[in-house]
Amino acid sequence: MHRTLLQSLILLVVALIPTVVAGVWHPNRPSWQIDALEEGEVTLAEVRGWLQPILWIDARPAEAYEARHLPGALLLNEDDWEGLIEPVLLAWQPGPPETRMVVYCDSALCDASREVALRLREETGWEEVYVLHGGWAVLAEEVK
Amino acid sequence: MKIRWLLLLRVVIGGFFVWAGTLKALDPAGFADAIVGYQLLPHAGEVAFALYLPWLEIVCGVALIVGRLSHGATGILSALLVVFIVALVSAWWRVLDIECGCFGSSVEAGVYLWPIARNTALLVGLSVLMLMHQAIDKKEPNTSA
Repeated sequence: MHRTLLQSLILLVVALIPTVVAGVWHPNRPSWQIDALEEGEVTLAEVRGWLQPILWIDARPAEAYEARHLPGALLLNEDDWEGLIEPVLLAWQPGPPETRMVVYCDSALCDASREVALRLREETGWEEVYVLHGGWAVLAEEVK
Repeated sequence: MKIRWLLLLRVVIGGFFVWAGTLKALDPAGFADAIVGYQLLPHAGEVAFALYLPWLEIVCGVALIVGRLSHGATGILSALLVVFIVALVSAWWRVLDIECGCFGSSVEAGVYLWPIARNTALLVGLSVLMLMHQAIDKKEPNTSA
C-alpha cells in the first residue's frame, strides 16, 4: 500500500512536467479565460437586462426538454422542425416591441442552438434571434 | 505462464491509455470543450484537467507497458476510470447530449453505454492486474515493479 502511494506520487509529479510545457507552449492549448462571445451570442446577464418580451427556445433533444427546461421555453430542434415550429410562430409577437428569441442547447460545446437560431432567421426573416452563451449549463441553476 | 498474462494485460491496458492520452494531448482545447459539456467543474478546473489528464494517462500507460512503477500506475488509472464512469453516468442521468471526450473531441455525442461498458472492462482488467501483482509480490517479496 505504501509502495503504491509512493509510486502514484512519483507518476503524478512526472505528469506535471509535460502538462506545464503544454500549458505554456501547446499551439492548441485551452484558454484560461472564459470564451469570448461569438456573433449572435448573448450572456444570461444581458438577456436579464432586456426590456423587450423574450421567447425562450430550447434546442436540445425532446427527452432532455421533457426532463427539465426553463419555464415558458418552447421546444424547437432539427429532429422535428415542422412539428415544433408552429407553437413558436404562434408565440412570437411582431411587436412593437418585437419579441426577442433566445435559443439555448446544452452548453458552450453544442451547436444545436446556433443551427436553430440560423434556421429561424433564414426561414422567418426575424432578426431578433440570439443564442445563449453557455446554454443550459448557465440556466440549470435557475431551474432547481 | 502467469507472468506472460501479466505482461500481455499490462501492454494492452497501458497501450490503450497511451493512445487515448495522446489523442487528447494533441488537442487539449478540443478536450477542454468536451469536459465543459459535463458541467461538473469551474472553468479553471476544466482547463487544468484538459492539460493534465492526457499526460497522466500517457505517463501511467508507459509505466504499465515498461513495468516500472506499475503498482502506482494501476492505482491511478483505476481511480481515473472510476471518475470517468461516475461522470458518464452523471451526464447520462442529466440527459446531457454531449461528447464523451474519451479520445479528445471527435466522438459522437449522446452515446453513453459503450464508453461506460469499456471503462468498466478496463477497470476489471486493472483489478486483475492488481491481484496478479499481489500474488507475485507474495511469492517474490523483493521485486520492485
